[in-house]
Amino acid sequence: MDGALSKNMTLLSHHTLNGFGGVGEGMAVQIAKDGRRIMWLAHEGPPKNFTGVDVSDPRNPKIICQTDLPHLRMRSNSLDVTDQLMVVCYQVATPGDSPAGIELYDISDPENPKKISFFDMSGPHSRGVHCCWFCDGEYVHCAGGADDFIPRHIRDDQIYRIIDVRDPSKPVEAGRWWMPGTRKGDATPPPARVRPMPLDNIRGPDAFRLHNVNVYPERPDRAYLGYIDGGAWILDISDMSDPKVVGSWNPHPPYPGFTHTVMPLLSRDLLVVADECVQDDAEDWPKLTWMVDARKEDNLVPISTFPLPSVEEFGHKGGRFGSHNIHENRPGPSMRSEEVIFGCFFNAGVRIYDISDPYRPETLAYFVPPGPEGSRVPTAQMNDIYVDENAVIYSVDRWAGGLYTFEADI
Amino acid sequence: MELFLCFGKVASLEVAQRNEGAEVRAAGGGLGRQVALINEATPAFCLNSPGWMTPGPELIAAMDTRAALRLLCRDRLEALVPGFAPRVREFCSAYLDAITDRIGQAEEGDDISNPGDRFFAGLLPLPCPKLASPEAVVGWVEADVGFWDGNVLTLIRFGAETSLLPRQRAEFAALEQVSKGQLRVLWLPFGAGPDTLPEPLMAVAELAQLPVFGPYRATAFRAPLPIEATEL
Repeated sequence: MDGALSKNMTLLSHHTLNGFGGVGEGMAVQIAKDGRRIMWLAHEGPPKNFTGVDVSDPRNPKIICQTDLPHLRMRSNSLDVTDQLMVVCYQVATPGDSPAGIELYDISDPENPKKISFFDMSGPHSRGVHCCWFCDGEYVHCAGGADDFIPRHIRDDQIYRIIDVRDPSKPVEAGRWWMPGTRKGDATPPPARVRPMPLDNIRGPDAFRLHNVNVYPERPDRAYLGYIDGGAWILDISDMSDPKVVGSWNPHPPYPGFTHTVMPLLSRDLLVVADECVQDDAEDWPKLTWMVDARKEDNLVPISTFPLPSVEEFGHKGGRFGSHNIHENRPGPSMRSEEVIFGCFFNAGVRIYDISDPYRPETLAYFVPPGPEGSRVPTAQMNDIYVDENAVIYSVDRWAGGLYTFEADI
Repeated sequence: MELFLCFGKVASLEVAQRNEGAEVRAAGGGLGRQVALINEATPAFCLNSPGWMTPGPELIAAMDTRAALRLLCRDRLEALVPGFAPRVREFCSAYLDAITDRIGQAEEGDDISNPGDRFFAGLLPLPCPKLASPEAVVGWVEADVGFWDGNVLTLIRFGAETSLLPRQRAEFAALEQVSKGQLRVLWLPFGAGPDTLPEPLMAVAELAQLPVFGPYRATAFRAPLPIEATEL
């Protein structure tokens, strides 16, 4: 690919999704009943909702389905798939608007997803759902608002909600948790803001709300939460109706906030904790990915950070530069390595790390695509990543570049 | 075919191979503190095999009960497990428990035929083994636990094959092929205990002879051997 920087990675294909190449944080692979592999992608913003891409041949991806949102004041951004069931998140720009919640689809006919049900999470103070995790076919773990949750700060509206979808036609809430102090009426005082921001734009930083939550079948009693400026949390969800805090860790401040993902490496008692860069031109540098020693869940200790190229080199190329999504070792047709971590870092591209020595993560490979046409910034903004069980790497651009597939010689 | 591996907390495989590996090779093979060299004549690596733990005579003299000896063995094995390998630690501990369950708790006493002493003839689980590829087929391959039973080196990986890159999966397959039956790879699910192991890996304890030498020799043989009584 002309203009790309790469080490030990090869581009297999690039698809701009019929001109709607802005993809959010929902990437999931379905093995269809006829054996095809369908990559489902949630778009970053309107007008598109989600797109299904046949990646049975990753060198030749083909769109099979592309849907629209009901209106332009909302986004999907996130989805997840287990077997033939897909969950799509709906988030609105303004609290109180709708539809806001999660929608369940039967995708057994991938060309024609069928709506099964909608779980409403709208409310006067709610923007709906930002991110979801659904890998056991039974519970959706998500960052969502609620009509009966009043946050103390307008940006702290999305809490941890667990939705029972064992009967997908009748989803019901199984439990919820929020960071103490963030709800109106909490006995705990509100947390001190890390980097206060004006309220004319309620997206972005300066928030104590949930971003990602991960729950794994090997440890179903544990939820791992990235709570933005609230840091990383481990909850005991053996009783989902009453999640309990096991441990937490928060480097913010002095670091500039936005803990995004907490991924446990369950066979190693380690966590990979990824921040998210949310501002262009290195305004919120450094946004890091951390290795955390979790041998004592109630005493989490950071031990290293993943190396990145210098901020002098990438910070002012345009767009964001720094950590964001990592491949989360989800169950299903997925790579599940605890020694090789795949991540995307906006204009620093897709990067692969060897963490066999967790005290010294090392870069194995990277691919930095050139800035795609039609993007609002001059660089590629690699936004999310998924690695299948054959180590085919799928990554997406946030604004216009669409879907990239790679293989790595590592 | 000769198989060389490092195990335990090894920071540099090359240094371990160069230094301790050379010592073990000069001795004709067998076990070192964190290396092992296996050839056709190498007997099974058992808990009572010399080389992997080197307690001094004073420490052994202080182990005046069978329970204390078993605890020392367990403690030394656990000390070999790297810090971020909790599943390996759990498996090794469960393996020792399983041996104890099979043969029964040894009773204290001076008798030399206590069947419980066969605990020490159980196979030695090698934590986090890293095998240097024989005949340079591939680079080092890593597993979670290893056993050498005198005939076959069994390498155990926890989790599915998708925990490895395709290159690594291919390396395991290539090694199994080139080793002509001397090496096998077992994939065990997370949390699997020793009850999922093939029977031969558990049966050694029942077939073993009572140890008469080494740190686990029976009480009647506890008078220091001439070499141990030598003052340096």
